[in-house]
Amino acid sequence: MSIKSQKIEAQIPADRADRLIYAAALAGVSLSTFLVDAAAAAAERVIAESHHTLVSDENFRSLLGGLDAPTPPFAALQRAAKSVAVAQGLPVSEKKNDNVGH
Amino acid sequence: MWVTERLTSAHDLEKFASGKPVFDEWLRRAALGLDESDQARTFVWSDEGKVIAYYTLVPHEIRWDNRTGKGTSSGPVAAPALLLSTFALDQKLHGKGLGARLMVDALTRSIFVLEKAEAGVIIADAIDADGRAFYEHFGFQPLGLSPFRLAMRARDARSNLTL
Repeated sequence: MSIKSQKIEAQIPADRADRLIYAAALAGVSLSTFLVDAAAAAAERVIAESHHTLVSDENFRSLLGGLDAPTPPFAALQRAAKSVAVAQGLPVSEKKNDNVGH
Repeated sequence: MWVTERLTSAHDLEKFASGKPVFDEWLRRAALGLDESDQARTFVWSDEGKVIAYYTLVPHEIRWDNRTGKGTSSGPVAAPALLLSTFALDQKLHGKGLGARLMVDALTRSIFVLEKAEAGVIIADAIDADGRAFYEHFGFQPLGLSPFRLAMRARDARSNLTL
């Protein structure tokens, strides 16, 4: 059974290419192997970061805590929500937006 | 008024041009595969089958870094989240306030998904300073680690979207 492969091309400045060729030689692998392995490792790291965010104690508290804290008015979001509601023909209360300050 | 629908293989992705090639290529090459393998959901606006705007939601989790605090034996150490990993409109839709409408759609959908979570969080990844300014405009705030990863509490989104 053959494994499907795909060709990926990339354009990089000559001086950076020289560094990569040099590094691949130092690692004792082909340039192609070096590039693919390095990119794959970087990709796995980025993908892991897409699954979770590690946050500091302080940030964690502010994200989870403060249930009683007043909600900040997100004026642009409130305006956008209102324009969507108007476009959909939904009733829009004027009261809620009074304190937003346009 | 555009209607948001889930991306399917029937959609035409070839003409999509957001002005940021990374979003165009991602839509054409990655979006459908990630949806089919249940790793992400992409929602689109389409015009006669051609995608003209899209965003992607990825299941996510906020984890407390226990190296940074005094440590607690009780209390949560993680919170459910959704990652708004991509968000883009075709250039011909730019400058008409349509990004704001798509944002309302994305946040409304996120709140719905996170509905049962008392402490749900919506995370957004910006690809550059423009993207970060866009998210901040709607109330997202930087999380402090990477300047391009921002957060909004689901309950804040909910209260600001409720008219």
